[in-house]
Amino acid sequence: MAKIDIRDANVSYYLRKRGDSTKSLKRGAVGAHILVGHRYLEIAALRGITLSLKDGDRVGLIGMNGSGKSTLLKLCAGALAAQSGTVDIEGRVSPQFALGSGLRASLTGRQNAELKCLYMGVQQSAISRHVEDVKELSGLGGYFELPIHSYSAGMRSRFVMSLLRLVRGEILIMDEWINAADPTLSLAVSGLQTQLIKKAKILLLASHSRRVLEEWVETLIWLDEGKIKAQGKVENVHFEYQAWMNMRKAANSAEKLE
Amino acid sequence: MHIWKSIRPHLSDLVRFFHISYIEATSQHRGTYLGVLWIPLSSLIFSAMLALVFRHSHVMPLGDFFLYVLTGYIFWGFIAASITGSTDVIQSRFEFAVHNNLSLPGLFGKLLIDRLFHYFLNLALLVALILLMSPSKIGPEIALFLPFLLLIAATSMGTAYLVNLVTIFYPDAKTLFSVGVRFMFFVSPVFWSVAETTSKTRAVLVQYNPVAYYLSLPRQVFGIEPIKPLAWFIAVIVSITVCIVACLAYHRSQGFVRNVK
Repeated sequence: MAKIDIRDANVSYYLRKRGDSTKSLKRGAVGAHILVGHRYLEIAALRGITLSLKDGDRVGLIGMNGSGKSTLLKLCAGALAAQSGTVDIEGRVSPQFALGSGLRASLTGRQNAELKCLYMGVQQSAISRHVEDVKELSGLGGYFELPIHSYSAGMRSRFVMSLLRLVRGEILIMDEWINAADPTLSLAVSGLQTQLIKKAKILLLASHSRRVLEEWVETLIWLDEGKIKAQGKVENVHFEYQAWMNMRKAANSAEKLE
Repeated sequence: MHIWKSIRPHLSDLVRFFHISYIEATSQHRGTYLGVLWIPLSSLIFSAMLALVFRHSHVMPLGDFFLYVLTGYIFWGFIAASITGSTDVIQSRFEFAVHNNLSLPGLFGKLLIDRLFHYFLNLALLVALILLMSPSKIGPEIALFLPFLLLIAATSMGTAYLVNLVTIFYPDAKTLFSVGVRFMFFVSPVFWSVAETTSKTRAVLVQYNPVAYYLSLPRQVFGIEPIKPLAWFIAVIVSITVCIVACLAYHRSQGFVRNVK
């Protein structure tokens, strides 16, 4: 059984103070509050978050840039800690913020795929099969046997996306749906993501795309300034969010005219 | 059977991480003919040079002094890597760890295995040279290798976390650690013999420098120095202290350090 149980969690980032910190206090159109401490600037990214997810839950996150979506995803992935409140996570978490992290440019695609298999805990006897799967999916042919530093940006991107084949986890955490620019890969990558979501016990997906959210999640959480502003069915919350965005745009335009 | 079943997954993980270390070490030496063999080879060349330059002819024969320096130098490499290689682990590698199924202690464990991998490659060279040059040195003391390994693994991991923590709070400490390690290389008996303590300064360095006791341990294990229970006692006390402090620091700081950007 997998579960995510977050109770009244507050999460802050800390940045070392440099020079005149008072300039950092100016509020922008996006982003969380910045507090000036004795030695650090504290960015209050999440405040009073309570969230309970269990097997079968498919949850989406929506909100403006800096509203706390990525922070919430990272909290669930264990990359960040809560300064207060409790975070209880059961099940193997599979975060998908940076699939290519840890790749070695001097190693070949094959060696990097092997390395990824080892990190992912693939059994030694199954590694070669998984590596062949990645090779086939990437469509890199002979380039798969060459160091990654010899790849073009597009080839590197193909390779990184092909690593999706190795992802396994009960709790799938995605920051945006992964889209491949190349149509020949796009279909395969979408297929892989579909498989992953179907296999996952819990899905937590942050996206700005209404289409993606409607397709994959049942519940939508709207985050604003680090707080949960609304939570409910996708169509209702998205409608509310869109109306709020339109109102905000109108207010900003009026302010500029004045 | 029950014990085997319970330790098997851990052994399997250990093998997996050594395999990772091998691939990553290979990537660092890619394009060279000798590949990872450069790790022991460079230790061999540097130790030979140190032994020739700093030879104490009146204390021990050149061959013995060379083995003495090599044993100390390769273990010094492990100590230095535990410190200088740990100054920005959380800041620069934690996100990578999260994407690769590693927790915070898991990340430090993975880096420990990387250090052990390098150390074992060097040890293989040392054992081969001892067997070639002076096989009689290998005696029952070799049984102390496992306790020695456990002791240095725990101390290295604890030290790595503490060093990282200090650099998070005081970034200038990174340079200080780097300078300090270089300084310690000269004031620890890596390439000068403990037996050569005619000068008062060296005697003080040997007596009050904990690194001197640690450097003595592998030399005792491989029969290069006689067994000295005091060195083991002091090393164990220092290791326990480091591990306790590191555990306390981890429990009190792990919630904060992950969020420092």
